[in-house]
Amino acid sequence: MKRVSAISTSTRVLVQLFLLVLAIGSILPLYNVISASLKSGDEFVMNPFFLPQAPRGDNFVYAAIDSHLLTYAINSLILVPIGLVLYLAVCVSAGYAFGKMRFRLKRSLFLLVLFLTIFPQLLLATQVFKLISLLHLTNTGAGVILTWVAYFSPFGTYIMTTYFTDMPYELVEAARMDGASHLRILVGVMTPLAMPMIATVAIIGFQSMWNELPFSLLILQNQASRTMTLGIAMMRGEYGLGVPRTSAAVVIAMAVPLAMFLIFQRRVTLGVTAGAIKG
Amino acid sequence: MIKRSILCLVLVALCAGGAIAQQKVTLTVWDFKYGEVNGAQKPMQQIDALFMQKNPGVTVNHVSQPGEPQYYQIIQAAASANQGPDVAMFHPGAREYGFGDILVDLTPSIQDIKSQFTPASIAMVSMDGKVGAPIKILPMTMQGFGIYYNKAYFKKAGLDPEQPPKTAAQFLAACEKLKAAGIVPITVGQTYTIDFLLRCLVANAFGPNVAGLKDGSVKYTDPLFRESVEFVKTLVDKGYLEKDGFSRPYFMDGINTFAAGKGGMFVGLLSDVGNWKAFSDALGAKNIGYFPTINFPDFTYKDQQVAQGAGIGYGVMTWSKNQKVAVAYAKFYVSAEAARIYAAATGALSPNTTVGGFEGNYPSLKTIQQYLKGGLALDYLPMFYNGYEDDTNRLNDRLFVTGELTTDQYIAEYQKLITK
Amino acid sequence: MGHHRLEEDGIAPYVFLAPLLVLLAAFILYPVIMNIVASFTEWKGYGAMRWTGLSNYRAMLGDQAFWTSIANTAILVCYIPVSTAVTVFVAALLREGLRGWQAYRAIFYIPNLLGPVIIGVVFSIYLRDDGSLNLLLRWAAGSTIRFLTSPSIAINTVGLVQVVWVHLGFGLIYFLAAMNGIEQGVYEAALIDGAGFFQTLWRVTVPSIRFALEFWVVFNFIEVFARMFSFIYTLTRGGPGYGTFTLEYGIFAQGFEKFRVGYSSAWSVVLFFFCAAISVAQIRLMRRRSS
Repeated sequence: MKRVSAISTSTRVLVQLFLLVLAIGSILPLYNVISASLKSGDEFVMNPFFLPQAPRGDNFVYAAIDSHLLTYAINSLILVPIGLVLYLAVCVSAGYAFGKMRFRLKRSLFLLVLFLTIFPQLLLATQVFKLISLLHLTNTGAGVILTWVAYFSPFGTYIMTTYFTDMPYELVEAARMDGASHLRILVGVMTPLAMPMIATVAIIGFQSMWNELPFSLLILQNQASRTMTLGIAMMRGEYGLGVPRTSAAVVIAMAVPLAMFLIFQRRVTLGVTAGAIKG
Repeated sequence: MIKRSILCLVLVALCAGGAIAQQKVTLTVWDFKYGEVNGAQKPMQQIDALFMQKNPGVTVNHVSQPGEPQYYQIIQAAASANQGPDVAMFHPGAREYGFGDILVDLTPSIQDIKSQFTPASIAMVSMDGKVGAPIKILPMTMQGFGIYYNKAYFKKAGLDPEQPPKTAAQFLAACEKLKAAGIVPITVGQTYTIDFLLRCLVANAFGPNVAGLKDGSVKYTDPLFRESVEFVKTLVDKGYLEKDGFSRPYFMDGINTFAAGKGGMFVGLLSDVGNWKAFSDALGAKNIGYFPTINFPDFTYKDQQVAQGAGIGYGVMTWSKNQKVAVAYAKFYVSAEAARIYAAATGALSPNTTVGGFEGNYPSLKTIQQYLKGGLALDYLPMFYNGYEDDTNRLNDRLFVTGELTTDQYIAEYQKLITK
Repeated sequence: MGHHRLEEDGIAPYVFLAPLLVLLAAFILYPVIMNIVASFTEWKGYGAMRWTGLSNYRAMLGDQAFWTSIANTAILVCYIPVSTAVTVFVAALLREGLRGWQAYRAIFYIPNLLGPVIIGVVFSIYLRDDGSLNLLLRWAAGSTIRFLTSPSIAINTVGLVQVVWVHLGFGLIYFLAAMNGIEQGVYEAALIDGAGFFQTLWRVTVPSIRFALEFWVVFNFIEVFARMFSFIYTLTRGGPGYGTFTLEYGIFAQGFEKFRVGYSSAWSVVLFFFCAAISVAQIRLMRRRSS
């Protein structure tokens, strides 16, 4: 960014310092978690703050096996991608309908979708649970995936709608005149063009589903079917494990979001950017 | 044509008959203790294996669930769907009564062994605590609270390790000496330390009449209740109840902290976790002492051991398709044979009086049993509605931890809870 | 959007929308309506519903926990301007092209990325009275701060961590992008006129990103009213006492800890009205933007 700066060179140093302090403050809790995860229970009591004198990996083994974090990770890694695929299918097709198709109820239905985006899970939980049990889907991946897709789709649809709306109508018109069905247009023309936005929506959807708690808490009752997020949430409180082991579990849990971020960093940035410009 | 269809019918009948003869039953059991790898799991696996031996064709699917309150959310969810486990673990008392309509009446099935159990436990597992009402849970353990102390630290502070403090004045003096010796007087776990301690003191205040707190014959505004509250407050204000422990979860961090030798005294449980066995194993059986409560000169009763008739137990769910086997399973768990395995391994106390015989190596257990024989005050808290303990814990926080309420306000709020 | 002679697309749109609409009707619309119905009953979440009229509402208005939750939610709302100011300020700083600004942007994003549950667990340990931060404070200043055990402080902890700190990362990316849209020329003109950092920020930058700011505020309102549960659940379970109880958390406590589902539905209805109001504001904003 070559630009004329509003900050004099001398102040720059102060600013850098300020940002550095802020950044270190931000990282400090995470540093503590990582360092605690490498200590034995006894060492943690003696030396809670500084780097471990005798780092050891057995907390991780305990968290993964005894605390079943590995199982939870696998569950999440299976459930979330499947949910994501369904979520994208729903959002993209609905987004196209709102963004490019014409029908009388378009306005009112879109407003309805927007309106339903806001409600917190807790408002819905009891009834959603009744529905899931009526469908005999309690404790199943299908039950939880269906709920996630239903809950997170309104927002994804909204994003796709704004994007499709902004795409030139000529694309659709031309294809229609050639006799293409809407389905063909969506799949063959619009989707490839909308890939950047779809990728963004996918990341948002992934984060939402991965971190979801209330519905998972109610629907996934067996310990073996829990997601990673649910497993971590359970660790705080009743019959807890002590700080080093909990920390190890948290470190394992951090691995996936961090990995995702490192791989998709540019995409995430671009996506939020696009959101800012679109408003 | 007809011959063929007859042949088919015969084959089907044979298959069906074979299936009935096999009687393969999978019993699903939900449990919030089963997940404790170093605690309940091993004895439970042993007991399950024994049960399966005695009942061929039955497979026990023992599922570990999270503890309170998530456990009851999951039960509620199952009730909503009218499907779930065959057998589920419950806390007798309000939790049990709250879910009474999804639990099978077990009264007829335990008639033959009923006399083995303490009357207090039978009363507690009967609906609404009324003797003669349907029994919906079979009691596996009995629970209670008291104060454990580290004898080595007592010695270090200049206190007689064999003579624990008995009166309020002695208790305060002991705390002061511990503090002066640089020892944390009472190790604290969030919320429950105060909760349990208060219940220990109230036992001395009202003795056998403590149930009156529920039906209103005893009021929270009684000066003896107030005196108990003020005493706990003094402990907090003087720093005897370590302030830093108020953000430390009682289960298990608080328990583990005392077990790691970080304090002089701890308000612990009699059964399941944080009990005589846990602390004896951690700090040495001869090094752990116990006393049930603190005596006040103007309190009517002395040395009362606060106890719940029953701590945890198993119930059979109304939707179970294997009710007979489920009932047999629950009954097996509370019978002498199984209860002994469980108690010896985990340090639980069984309300089945025919269980026993391992007190020899644990002086603190011997002490507890003496007090149990001496004077038992029933713990009033489990009698109340679902969520009562959550409410009272929030109240405790607001008075003792944050100072948000005055003692008067606190007592008024307590009284309000009863009318809910 | 091109305006063409309105020939409709027949049934196709509804086919495309069917999955979404069916899911929304079953999982969101129906539950919201049933909540309103349930608020007039006494119900355990299973079994029979007993009609009780307005008694839940009367109980709610007399419930200290309810008013505390409203007060706590209001306190969190006060952190929205704090969050906005901090975020815009840091974004403006980063925009000055300092070395390594992308690294800072990435580091600040990490809390948001990890999700409320992980952040909640991490801070529930880190901010304990005997935890790391207090150890540091005791060494440096001699006393500790009861981050999680004093109700007046605890709610502020929630505000600072979740509303300000976690959203900072997201906000930086968001505002940096919005600020990028400002024409370089206008900015430089102000500098030539002798304006300093804060003056340019206030007179040029902020007015130019007005829409982004408005959406940001609405986003934060949604977060405070409807997306705090996971964090509060893992951090303090609503405690100490009712210290970190919000309206949203109260629905959980009443409905899923005490199983008074009818009563919790009354709380839900109150939250519903707040959410509806925010939603209307949001929709109005979007309409203005697109016109």
